[in-house]
Amino acid sequence: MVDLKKLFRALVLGGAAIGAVQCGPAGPQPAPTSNPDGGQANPDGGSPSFW
Amino acid sequence: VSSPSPGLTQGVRRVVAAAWQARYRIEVESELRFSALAQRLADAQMPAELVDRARTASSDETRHAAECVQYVKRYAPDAELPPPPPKAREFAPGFLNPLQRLTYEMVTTCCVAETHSATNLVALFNAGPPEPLLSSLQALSRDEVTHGQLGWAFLEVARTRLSLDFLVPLLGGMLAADAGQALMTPANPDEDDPVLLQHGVLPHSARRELFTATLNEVIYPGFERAGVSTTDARAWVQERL
Repeated sequence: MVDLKKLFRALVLGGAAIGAVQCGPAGPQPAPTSNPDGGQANPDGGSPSFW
Repeated sequence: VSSPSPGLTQGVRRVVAAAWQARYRIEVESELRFSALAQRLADAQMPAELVDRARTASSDETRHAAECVQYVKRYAPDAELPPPPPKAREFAPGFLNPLQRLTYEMVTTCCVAETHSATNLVALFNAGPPEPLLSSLQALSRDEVTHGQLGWAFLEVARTRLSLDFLVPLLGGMLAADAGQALMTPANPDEDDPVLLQHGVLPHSARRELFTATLNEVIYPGFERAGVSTTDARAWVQERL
């Protein structure tokens, strides 16, 4: 039904390659703000729904 | 989008309509979520490429929601669409520090949910439903692959800025939440009818099978590649699926 090996290459390896290009030396890192548009953090974690 | 095939039973039509309504809600909230994430990525001085991709993802989701509306109207012409939520939910546990929370949100949104969406959409496209659905699924799956990639790109950057060990004990709960109660409970016959594929919906058994296969062949190896152990998560999920 789906070639998951191909999708692993596209999603994970493709994504990691994009990230690797961006990994220069990290400059000063201010702490990110909490979600300015979001709600309360979930005490137990969670995940959005998917298709 | 023209009216659906006349041979559809009422029960199956209800399943299809509910699926497209749920997708509409997912896409509307995803638009807000990616917009918020883009800002948080910028605030955390993450690479501009990632910020841009999150912004693009937000506008993709706006288009996807509009696409879903067409199919809601097709299968449930009288259905009222819910208003958009005021804010995207945040899923990260509150005890994490701000950078960990951003990482949790990116992982659960992109590496998990969007990766599952991408594999499901490719499966739906490969089933070869009639037009215009086939073209819709092609466009949607192409976008969802880029949204999944964003998570794995982020993880590659994040691992250079913080230890990802905090994710290890949280992955099992994240993945179980991702599966949702519906995937863990038996389906009624309408939810498992193979004709659903012709209407852009995976039958329950196929969805469950693909969920597990995607974990084993894409998501777990992706985390392990980033140095995040999945041993505990695998055991946790296996007990529940």
